[in-house]
Amino acid sequence: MEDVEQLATKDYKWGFVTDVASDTFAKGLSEDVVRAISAKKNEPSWLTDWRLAAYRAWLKMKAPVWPNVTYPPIDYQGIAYYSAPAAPKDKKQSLDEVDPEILKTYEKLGISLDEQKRLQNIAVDAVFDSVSVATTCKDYLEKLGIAFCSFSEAVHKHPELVRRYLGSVVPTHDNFFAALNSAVFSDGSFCFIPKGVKCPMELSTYFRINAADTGQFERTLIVAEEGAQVSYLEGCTAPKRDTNQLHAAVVELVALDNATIKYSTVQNWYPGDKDGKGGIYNFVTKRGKCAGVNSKITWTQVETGSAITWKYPSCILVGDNSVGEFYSVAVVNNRQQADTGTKMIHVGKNTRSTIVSKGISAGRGNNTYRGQVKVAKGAAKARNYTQCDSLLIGDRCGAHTFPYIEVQNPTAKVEHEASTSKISEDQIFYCKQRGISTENAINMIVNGFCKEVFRELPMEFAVEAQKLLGVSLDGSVG
Amino acid sequence: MSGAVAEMPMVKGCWPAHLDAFEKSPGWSAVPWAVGLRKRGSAAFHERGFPTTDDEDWRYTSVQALAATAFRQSLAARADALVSSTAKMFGFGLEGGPRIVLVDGFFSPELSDLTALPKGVRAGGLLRAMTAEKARVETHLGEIAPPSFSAFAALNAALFQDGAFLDVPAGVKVETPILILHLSHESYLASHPRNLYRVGAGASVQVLEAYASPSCDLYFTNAVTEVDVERGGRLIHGRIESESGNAFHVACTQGRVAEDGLWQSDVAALGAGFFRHDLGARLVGERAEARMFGLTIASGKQHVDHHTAIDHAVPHCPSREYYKAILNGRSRVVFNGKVYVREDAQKTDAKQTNRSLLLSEDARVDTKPQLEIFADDVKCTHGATVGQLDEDMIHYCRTRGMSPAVARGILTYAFARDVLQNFGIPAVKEHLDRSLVQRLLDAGRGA
Amino acid sequence: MLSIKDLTAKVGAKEILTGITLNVKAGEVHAIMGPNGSGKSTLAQVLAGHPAYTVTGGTVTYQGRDLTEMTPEDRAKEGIFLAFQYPVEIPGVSNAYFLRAAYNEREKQAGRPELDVMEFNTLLKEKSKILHIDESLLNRPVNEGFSGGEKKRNEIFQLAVLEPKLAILDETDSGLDIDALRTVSDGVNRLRSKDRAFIVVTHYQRLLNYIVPDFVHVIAGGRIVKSGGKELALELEQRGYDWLKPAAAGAAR
Repeated sequence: MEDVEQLATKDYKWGFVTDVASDTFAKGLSEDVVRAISAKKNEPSWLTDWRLAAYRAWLKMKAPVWPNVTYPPIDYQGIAYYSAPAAPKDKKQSLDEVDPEILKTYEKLGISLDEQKRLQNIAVDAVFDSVSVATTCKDYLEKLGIAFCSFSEAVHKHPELVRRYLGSVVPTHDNFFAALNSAVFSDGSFCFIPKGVKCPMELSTYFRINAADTGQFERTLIVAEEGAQVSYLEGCTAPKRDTNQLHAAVVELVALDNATIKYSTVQNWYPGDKDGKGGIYNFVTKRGKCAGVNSKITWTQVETGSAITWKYPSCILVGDNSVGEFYSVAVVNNRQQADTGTKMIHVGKNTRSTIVSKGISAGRGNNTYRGQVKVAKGAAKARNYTQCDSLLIGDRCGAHTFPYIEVQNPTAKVEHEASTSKISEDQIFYCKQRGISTENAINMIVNGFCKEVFRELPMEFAVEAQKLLGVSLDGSVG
Repeated sequence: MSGAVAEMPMVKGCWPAHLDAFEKSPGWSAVPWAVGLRKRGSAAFHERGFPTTDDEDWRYTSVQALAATAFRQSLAARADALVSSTAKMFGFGLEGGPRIVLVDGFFSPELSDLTALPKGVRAGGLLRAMTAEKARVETHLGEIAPPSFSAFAALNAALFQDGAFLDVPAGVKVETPILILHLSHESYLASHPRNLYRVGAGASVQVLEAYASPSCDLYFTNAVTEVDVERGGRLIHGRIESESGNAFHVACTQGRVAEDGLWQSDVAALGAGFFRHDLGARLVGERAEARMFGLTIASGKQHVDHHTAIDHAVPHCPSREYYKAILNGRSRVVFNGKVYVREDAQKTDAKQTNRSLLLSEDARVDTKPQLEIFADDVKCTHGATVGQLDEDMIHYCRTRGMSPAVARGILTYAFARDVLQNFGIPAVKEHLDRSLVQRLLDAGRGA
Repeated sequence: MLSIKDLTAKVGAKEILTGITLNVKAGEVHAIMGPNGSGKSTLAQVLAGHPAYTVTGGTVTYQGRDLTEMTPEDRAKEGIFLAFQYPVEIPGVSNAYFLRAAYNEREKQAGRPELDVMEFNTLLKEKSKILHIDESLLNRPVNEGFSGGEKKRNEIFQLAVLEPKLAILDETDSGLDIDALRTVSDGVNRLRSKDRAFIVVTHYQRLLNYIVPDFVHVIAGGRIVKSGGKELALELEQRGYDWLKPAAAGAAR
């Protein structure tokens, strides 16, 4: 299979830098910086205090050491905690006021912010470094009672909702990175789907890191009231840089009775070069709470980027009969490291969860699945099914599986299956005998391996994800 | 997986005093070459103290109660009439065969019977072997299970006074299984038996290492067993933990297997109130094989924690692991099984299965099967399930005229037999089957 | 179409083919028979270019080109199709998707436009009707969870879709019951044409009751020890392979 090793290495094509004037804080973190971020956003005092409490908690915490990843200590004073494209003082009202360079950036990334292109049936919130620069289809959604806007805007327009739900799923002191995010988060998306409304379009956020030496700390909050339904997508890219950049986001989902939230991610942060230089540290806390009966939260993620990924989109299944799902494809190539998985915490009766994790390791990448399934005492008849498969390409990569299964109810049923395999020479030869090149054969086999996850993604995303996978594995050894 | 890091004070309990007293007694330097090992053990324990639940390897098992208990130490062996009669109570199906008996951690020549062993086989107490068979012991002792392995292994290295020694020379096939019986019968006593088994090239032997007590006393057994299987050797290694319900039993069993060798470990966890077993196999030669079978039956407030590790260090090695647990009452069972496939260990074929049956409201299972794989051409799978008896099966039994309780009992028994049938010493398997059937029928029935 | 001369090949250090000479013209059906381990499957694998086999001598000319110089996929694109003895499973990749990829590679090679999903599905449906293939098979992953008979049928279905010039069937009859054997043979017979050649590798004569060959060759010890018409197969059925062994030994001398 030598020819596999010779496959050309395609480049990270999202790695360009946009030249915009920006308003960036000096590097460093202190209470004053936290206050300054809050002031910049003209936040109410309760939120400033909330941030400060998080900051003080963070100071007493230590970065987790249990993940199966290695990186030099991060200098938290070496990061700028706020960076926004310089803009008129007032918040932008329409796209006309957004810097054309930024609009061009999004066009180049394949994300149209033009209202006319609503045909795609996707509303987009575009986050550029620390701030949301544009949100499309807002008016249309507002007529349906759906709030879809930047987090900063929500703080002013929907203060009571923000106050009620912010930190209700991921408390400020939850973990080191969540605490840091709570102190310094700059922007993100806010979605609120009122009772009985089925959101007619996909809501999406596109995150772009542009500035150097900044961290991105976005905060997303999605609330689906009784009977509401929403499908939300996020995508992310960053320029190629030799230094590592920190991205520490927090996402909170709340589903009330009979509500459904589907959250899909295609994470394509800059992964660093083939020797492991540069790339994003993607340290993210994502958690959903199925608070109501019959509610359902589905996480689908395709993780191809980042130098290091550390994230566990989780579900707390509180409402009786609620459902949590996690579908994941994580690819590591070259020197990438991923420690990712999920937590399914069964609290309510008849709660069900499904975990399908597909890990692909190539090059010198290390891929870890870490998942917790916990059945609390009262979670009668809880069910979990976990399937966790690893595919290894090359003999210098690693695949690791660390499931934690904790059961305290005798009527629960938890099943976990894991397997590890490689692309066999026989498979490649079979494809070649049918006239298919090695490169296409590998692509086909890998996509086949991930199929159960891809079919959970909205159509456009699934196509994008398949392409990404091909690019991510280019140059991997066979 | 998350949460703030709590700073816990390091707990050492009564052990600094034990270490101190032993260091001043003649036992410490009775075998001069072992003093280095003892010192390393003592230093390692002083340095780390007991683990806390923040320690990933101990996240489901708290040693607080164990650490807080003031145990007594015994600086000399004794064998009295009472012991001699009780030793006969425990045969585990191997009655009348060769036996090595230890009482509270000390080898008892009077209670042991080694007359039937083939020529060349060396068996008996470890302490004696450390002098008489120095060359065979020194190279292995503390090397396969080093003091650095855990706080308990460290304590054992420092404080062990005796244990069982078995050496089967190359080519010798021992037909009759050997019983190695560790008896505990002193209340609040801590013992640290240390066993060493060597199986020479092409040799084969079956060993049952059993821990038992005639009492329901509180005491502490802290055992370490080191196993070395040389090229083409075969060791069928049964281990029955049938201690007093109030006892603490911590064990560290580590072995290495050379090419074409086989080590099969059959563990039955039946007794102690607190049981922790670290079982590890290193496959260091091609086609070396490890098999690990485990059956746990827990009830009351028992806490049973199995930590297993299979390290595939070289290519072409198979391993099989099958652990099952049946839980009743307020018992808690932990299974942590690691399969490690190192770089270059191509063509590894590893399969691990863990199944738990929860029979009561208050029982709890924590399972953590782990695969760590650094080679690509491997076949590794693991599966874990936690659940209850299959309702369809119960229904099927009922259509054949059984009451639900009887059906449950039978299915529980079947659940256990499924793993028991893999046990490698036929007489022990039959003994366990016979002696457990009633307990299992009752457990399933909810009695 | 295919001319094999004094072909020798080995797997690892073991010489398996010791000198095969065989000429196949368009429209012909050649049966290759022989006892287990004689080298007949090796011949099929070598013609398809399996990397485990090394050609150590002789020549293989296919349509005027040196076949041994071509990659497996180029051979396929030039019209060589191997129906595998043990078809490989590719989890998650549907038969239809797999076949379209293979089909379009060939079309690209021939300078013809590729077919899109709709066009190709139409083609697949036609072919599946002709061969009585259940359409649900098309959407199942390639060979995954297929029974032995389904796998073999799927190979013949692929053969029908890819329309090769030279089809090599490697023990397609092994493991088939009589009904499956008939279905598979019917499929092959439909595909016989004056432009297409077949090499049918089999251990048993019974397949040749259904796929009637023009020539029968017997391989033993890595070379062809006897060639004849279809009646040779019947003779083998009655007399077994043993009577040919001295001839093999003689030939090897």
